[in-house]
Amino acid sequence: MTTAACGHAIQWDERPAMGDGTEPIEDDEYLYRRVSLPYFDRTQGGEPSPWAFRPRKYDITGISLFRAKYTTPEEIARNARGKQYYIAVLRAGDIRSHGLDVVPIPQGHAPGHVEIPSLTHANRRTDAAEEAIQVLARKLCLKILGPFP
Amino acid sequence: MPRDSAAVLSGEPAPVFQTGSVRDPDLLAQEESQRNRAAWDRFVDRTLVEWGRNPAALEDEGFIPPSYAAVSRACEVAMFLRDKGLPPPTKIVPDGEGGICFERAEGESSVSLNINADQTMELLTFDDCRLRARYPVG
Repeated sequence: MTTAACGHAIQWDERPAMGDGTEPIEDDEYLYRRVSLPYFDRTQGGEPSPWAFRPRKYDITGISLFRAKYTTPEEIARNARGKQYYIAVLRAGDIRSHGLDVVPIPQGHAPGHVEIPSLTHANRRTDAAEEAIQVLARKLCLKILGPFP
Repeated sequence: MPRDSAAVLSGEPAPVFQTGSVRDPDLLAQEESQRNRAAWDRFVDRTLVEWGRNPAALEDEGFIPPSYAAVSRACEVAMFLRDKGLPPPTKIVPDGEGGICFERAEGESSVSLNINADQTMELLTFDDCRLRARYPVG
């Protein structure tokens, strides 16, 4: 059991029974978000830059996160480009409590892939999107793991 | 001896120069200004110059490193703000679209100065993650 800076107790070895990835996301599920190195400084600590949640060109239907019950931080960070990544840990219920939806989109992605559909590349410059990425980075990150690999 | 001498003389004796209340406010301001200036210089020398020299280090899937023009513009802006005596950013980050963002967070308030790839700039201010203002600058 680990207690994050915000006081949430995180049971890392908790792996509930898995489905096919289409089952609804429970409020108490933990989610992982891959964070590029420039967006967090382990020596400074604190929260990641909001830009870690800014939609990219490929985020057509929403930004991606992964369900902790389907994967590990190491798997999320794995890539063929030799890049390292931090992994931000968030909780689905916290995201919803700030008015953002999070939905399972396993088709065509790694197992446990989910998206926040209100944050897309097309709307990334809107006031609502600018506020949402601030909330995700500054209020909802429970912990930053890594970097991996 | 006056009646309240005991109160005046009470407390831990300490050399006068170690007593905060007698520090010259101008000296404190000067020290802070020097710290701010040094922090701006570190961002320019260690971050922006390095990005300009080796942008490929930031390349990633769907991620465009800062353009040379954006790095040059960011250096100019950093030195301008440094010379104005403004406090340094808490982070300088690439925006993933060829631009650069200066971020400063203090408590629940934060400011983002976005320097876009085309060198246009926008300032956004947030209070408790709520957008308070956004406008083009420069």
